[in-house]
Amino acid sequence: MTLEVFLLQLANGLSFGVIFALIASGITLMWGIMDFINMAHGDLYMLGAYGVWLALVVGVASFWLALPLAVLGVLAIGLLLRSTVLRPVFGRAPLQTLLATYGIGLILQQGVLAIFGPFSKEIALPISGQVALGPLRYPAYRLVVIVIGLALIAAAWLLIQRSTYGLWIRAVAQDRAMTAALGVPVPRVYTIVFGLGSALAGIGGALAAPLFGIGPTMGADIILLAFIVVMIGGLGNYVGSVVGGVLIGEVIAVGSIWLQPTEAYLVALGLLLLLLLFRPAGLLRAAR
Amino acid sequence: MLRVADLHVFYGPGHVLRGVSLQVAAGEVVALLGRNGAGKSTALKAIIGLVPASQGRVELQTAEGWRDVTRLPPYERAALGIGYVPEERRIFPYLTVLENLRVGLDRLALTPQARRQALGRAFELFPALPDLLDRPGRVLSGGQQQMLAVARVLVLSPRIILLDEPSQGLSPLLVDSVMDAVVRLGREGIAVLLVEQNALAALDVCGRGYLMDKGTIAGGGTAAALLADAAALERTLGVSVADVGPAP
Amino acid sequence: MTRAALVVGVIALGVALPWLVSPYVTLTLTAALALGLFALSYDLVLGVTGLVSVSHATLFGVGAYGMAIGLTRLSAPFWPSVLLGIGAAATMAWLIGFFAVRTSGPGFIIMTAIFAHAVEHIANVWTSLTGGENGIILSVSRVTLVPGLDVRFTAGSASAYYAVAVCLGLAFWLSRSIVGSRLGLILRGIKGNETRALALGYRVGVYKVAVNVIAGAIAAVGGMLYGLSQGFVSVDLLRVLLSIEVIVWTILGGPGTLLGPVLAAVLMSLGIDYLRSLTHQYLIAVGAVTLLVVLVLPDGLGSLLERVRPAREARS
Repeated sequence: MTLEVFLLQLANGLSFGVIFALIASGITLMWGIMDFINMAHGDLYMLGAYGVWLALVVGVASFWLALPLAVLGVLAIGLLLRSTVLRPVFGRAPLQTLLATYGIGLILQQGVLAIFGPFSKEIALPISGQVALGPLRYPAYRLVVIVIGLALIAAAWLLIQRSTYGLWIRAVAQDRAMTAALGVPVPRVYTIVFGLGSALAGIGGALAAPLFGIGPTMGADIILLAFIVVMIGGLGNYVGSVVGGVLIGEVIAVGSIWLQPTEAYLVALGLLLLLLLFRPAGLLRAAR
Repeated sequence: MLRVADLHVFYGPGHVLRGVSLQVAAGEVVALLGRNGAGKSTALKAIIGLVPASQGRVELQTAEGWRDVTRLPPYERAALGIGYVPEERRIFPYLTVLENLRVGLDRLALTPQARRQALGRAFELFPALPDLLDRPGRVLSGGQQQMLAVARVLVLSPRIILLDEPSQGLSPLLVDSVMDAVVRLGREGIAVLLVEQNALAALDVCGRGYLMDKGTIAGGGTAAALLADAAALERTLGVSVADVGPAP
Repeated sequence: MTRAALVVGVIALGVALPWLVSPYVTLTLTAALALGLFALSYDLVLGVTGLVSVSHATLFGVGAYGMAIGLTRLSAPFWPSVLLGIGAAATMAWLIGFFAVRTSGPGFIIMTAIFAHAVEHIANVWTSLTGGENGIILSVSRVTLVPGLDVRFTAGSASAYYAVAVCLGLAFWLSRSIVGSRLGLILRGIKGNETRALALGYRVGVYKVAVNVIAGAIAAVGGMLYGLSQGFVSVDLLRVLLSIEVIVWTILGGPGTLLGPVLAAVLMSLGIDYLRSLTHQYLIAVGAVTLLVVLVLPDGLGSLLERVRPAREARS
């Protein structure tokens, strides 16, 4: 293993990491703000990927046009779910949201399978070629994914810290009843959080599509790692899910130098278990 | 300003409020007294809607007349003008003092000038607050938290404020300043429903009061009348009037 | 018709069944009963203790695989392989429980989900050990319980049917004893008010792990019986999907009733079998049913009965 290979994997880890962070932050926000366990989150990611593919197939000119269309599609589906089948489930026990969202995820998966078939689709890299980064020549698209991912994560963080809705999101996370008693329309906050989470997952899927391929089970495949990231970062902790995402991304990427992918997953799981032995609340203290 | 009729609340199988009825007029400061467990806090929570009522009515007087708010969720009742200051204060621990104030204030979408006015009103009542604006809620002392808890409701220009045991855990000096603030709230035309264990301090600032016992209203009257009827006070509060006073 | 007569009638029907129906139906019922055993064990976890675990099929499948690996890869005799299966599941249950209780509240659910996904993923990938989708064929056709009493695990065998039914009965008796015992009291206390149990000095985490291990061992027996009746074990036995299905069965049957989940499991697994024979897309139906259960019957079928009964009483 040369230094170049190591640096390459380090960069790859960052590209995985931002995608994990995008997915995990949605899960952790939905849990922390709304006590909502979304087992269908991985399938929203999957729909983002299919959305881009579908847009390109029906003739949208470029990937960069298809991406926002796909994200809007995922957002629309997410909000539709929220206002229809998920509406009665909000506020119920975790067991019920678990079952309801698993059922929805299964329907989404099987629906996609039925409509588009079981074989994975591929999209050409929207940006081909490589970029010179110091001693390294790195794929341009992956670099773009990293930059876009980090920008989105930062934007979401700013939204949460500065805007009024962000203030309300933080207030609801700390004391939902009191926030309502102060006149804040809590159901609207929930809708925003659900929309935000769904959109982030959709973007993750869209960005990942050219890299990882597109298949009906890609959501189910990634949800394991997403949950590990969420638990490492601490349930409900946005910054934690970002840090955890990058960490696990690096573990997978660097690990793959020596290990098979499955073994790298096991290392990630092992990390989580180790962490649980010493810091059950997650990597960072609950930073709100 | 506020009308409560025959309110019943159950906690599981426990019948905690058994037909509570009371009224508060605009600008009135009314006390709700009773011993621990009588249901005073629950009554306030039912009025703001944090606990559901199985029976009864809560009505609020708005600009368009009397409005039945019994079926409305807490955030809509607050938007109509019911302010709630809970017993535990419930300051947002990881938000700064300013952010605590903004939680309710931002919803009003006021012009910068109106915002300054609203905040100014609160700062006038609680002059210590402007210096604390950057502090996170969790580092505030008990007295500071109490001030903030009232202030963040006050900036919303409520029609009525429900105050739950504001003097709890505070030194006599702070208790005085809190009661002072209550009086001034009343003078501004805001109705106040004050729940207090400290009956003497409460009746000092209130024109009228209700006595609660075992989930229902057991008596009431003007402050003077209540203070005069030591026997009734003893019965409902469980201690003699002489014992009821500020903590040493 | 009195309740006692009804119960006797059902039991008699159950006993006579293999003579009344085709071997194929007997086989299907045998498998369904094994799933009933699985649901019974899960009721101890969810219904009695209130733990939402998404990893119970993991234990079901690990138990089955433990036995299968013992029989085929290790060439061990029957009973030691059974012990291996139970041991593997119990160990897995202990491991999952240990880490899951270290997180607070909903973290428990996610931790069990993580373990369940991880095991399913490993089982899918490590095909040299697990045989992947095709699984491991079990060539056990006959097990001698005592000289003269054989259980035959061939398709449609009546003795297999009775063996599973007897195991189900034993497990039912065991579960009832647990629920009625001091342990059961503590578990139910944990379900009712965990903070209070903690305040009273009970080491809640230890009890949670314990019930997971006990239930895991029973689930392992169910898994092994299922595999034996089918003649093979495959990764389908430890899928997260099956864990979710058993949650649905438990809720529909009535959490904590022990009998309800068994009935729901038997009936619904038969239903799914039938669906699967109709269409490849039966999983969409499974997803829809899961969703519908939450929307329409969150408190199980028992609540439906309760809604019907007062109406009937009002009429009479």
